Amino acid sequence: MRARAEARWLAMSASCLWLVAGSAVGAEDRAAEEKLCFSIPRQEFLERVSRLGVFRLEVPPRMKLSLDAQSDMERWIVSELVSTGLQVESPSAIEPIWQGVERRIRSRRGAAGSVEWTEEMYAALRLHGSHELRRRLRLDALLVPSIEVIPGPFHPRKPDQRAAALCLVSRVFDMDGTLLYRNDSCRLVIEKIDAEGIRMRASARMLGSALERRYLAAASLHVLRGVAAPDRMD
Amino acid sequence: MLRPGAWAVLGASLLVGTLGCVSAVSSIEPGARFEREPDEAGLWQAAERLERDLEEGGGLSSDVALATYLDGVAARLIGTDLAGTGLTLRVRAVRDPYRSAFATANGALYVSTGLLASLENEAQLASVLGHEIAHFTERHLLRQKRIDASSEQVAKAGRTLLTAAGAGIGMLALPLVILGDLVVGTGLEAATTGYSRDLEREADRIGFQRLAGAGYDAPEGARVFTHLREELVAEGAEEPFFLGSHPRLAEREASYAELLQAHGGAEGDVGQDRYAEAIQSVLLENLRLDLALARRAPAHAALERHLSHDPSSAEGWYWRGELTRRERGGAALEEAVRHYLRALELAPTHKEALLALGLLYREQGRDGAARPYFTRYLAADPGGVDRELVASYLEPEGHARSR
Repeated sequence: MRARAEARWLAMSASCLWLVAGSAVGAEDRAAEEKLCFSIPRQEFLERVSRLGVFRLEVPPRMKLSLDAQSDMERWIVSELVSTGLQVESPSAIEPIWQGVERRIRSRRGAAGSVEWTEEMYAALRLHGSHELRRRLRLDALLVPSIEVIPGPFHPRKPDQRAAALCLVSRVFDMDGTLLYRNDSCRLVIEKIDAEGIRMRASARMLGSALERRYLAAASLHVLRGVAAPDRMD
Repeated sequence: MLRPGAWAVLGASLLVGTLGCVSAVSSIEPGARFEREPDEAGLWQAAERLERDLEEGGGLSSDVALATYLDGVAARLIGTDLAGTGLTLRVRAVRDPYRSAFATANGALYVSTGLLASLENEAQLASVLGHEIAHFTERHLLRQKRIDASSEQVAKAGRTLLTAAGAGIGMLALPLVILGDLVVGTGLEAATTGYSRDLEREADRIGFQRLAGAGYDAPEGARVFTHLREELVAEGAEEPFFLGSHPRLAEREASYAELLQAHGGAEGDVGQDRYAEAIQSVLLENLRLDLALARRAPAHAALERHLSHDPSSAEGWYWRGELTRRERGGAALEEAVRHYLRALELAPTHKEALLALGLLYREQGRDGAARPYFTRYLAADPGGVDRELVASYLEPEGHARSR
């Protein structure tokens, strides 16, 4: 019974995901979508980025997402990127270097853990953290995945219908902090919208299955992946 | 079923009803104590929340001299019209690289650093502020709210113009504000997406009167929308704001051309030098924001403008080094180094240039070349938040790693 329910859920998830993501990847929309996603010409992105570091997935504080689910998402994001031919450093390789820089900046300002971060400290962290990653891992860019609440028209046939939805957003920054890519138009709605545009309560089972998490990870990167495999879409 | 003629009568009745309701909103009267309408409270709350969020969230430019200058231009335009009303007008420069400006119901006017970096003189600034002041004094947010309440279609069309273009994630991105994003769902959307055509034309007319009445050069002020449109065409982009939309700019352009023709186009104060002096720090602050969003054309334009105003600006030469290094990478590193060194000739303790040279050499594995710059950096900024880190760069590699 449970297996059947799970299978039905998966089938529904897949079709919902396809519905929403598919609305953004029609052939006629592809050029416009890429233009929205890439803030530099795509060709230049290809030339500049070959080694990419992936940061930890950022999750809204009130969202309940298990550490296992979070790790799954990160792992699949890495594997999707690797499948495009990119050289990728995982969050576990990035984190100790970044945290080492963070610790030293924080310790300068007093007892560790009790320091309120100022813009000056963030600026120093960005500069020196990126410097260390570039120097030690030879990275060209950093991908920051996050789950965010985004307002917008999410129904493909009802653009006037406004909603706010949880989305998996991927951003790529160069090592100077310039935003190179953001899956803005091709964001994937985690909260389900069925074929009639009715939003479904999915929070209890949000990201409930491993396969679903994998769909999300793949689809959130589909324009970026399209750089290497333009027609591939799960 | 209604016949077509009946539809027209019904439509006209609804229109008259709508306009009647809208016309019931009075302008802010000089000398008369201002009283809010019951349905205006939400607009004030949203305005106060926005003002607070921007102040507390680091969304406003910290340039005090600029703030004083902007308030001075607004004061010249409003004259004594707010005396006795209990209202105050203030202008806030927002760290938003897109070209935007709007007014909220409580008298706060917002101008983006992107727009300030784009305008050419004080008359153009006065033209934009005059238009926004008119939205405030004529209470257009309230009037638009009532129009929207009676016309679902208008409300929807306005909201769909908004785009989510913000950048700001964790510790990686430079903090910046996209005003269009910030007002979604607050009731202030019309201020950023543009009002109805009639309200915009009213703001054009009253704004133009204020511009000319304050002694500004009317032709130069009227030229601002042409200037903005030409810049957008040259950059090949539209921006997430009505000042960055070609049709909206074209409407303003035509409207101001009519007003100018009726006015006779008398010349007045352009304020070129005053404006250039006031915005130098904004040019560089906005350049950083432009770079964060890979907006190269405006970043280059701002840098050239800054250096042509002050060819011996160490900050300007540092940024020329940064642009060279960031955009052209390895092939142009020598050129970038020359620009950093030029900055240090002009200001030997320029911290960013010292650090940039040190880090650049360290990344190349040239620790010997990096060392003097790190040493000078530590001397120039003994209390810096990154002191311990930079000091560690001077230690032998193994020793630094083991700590």
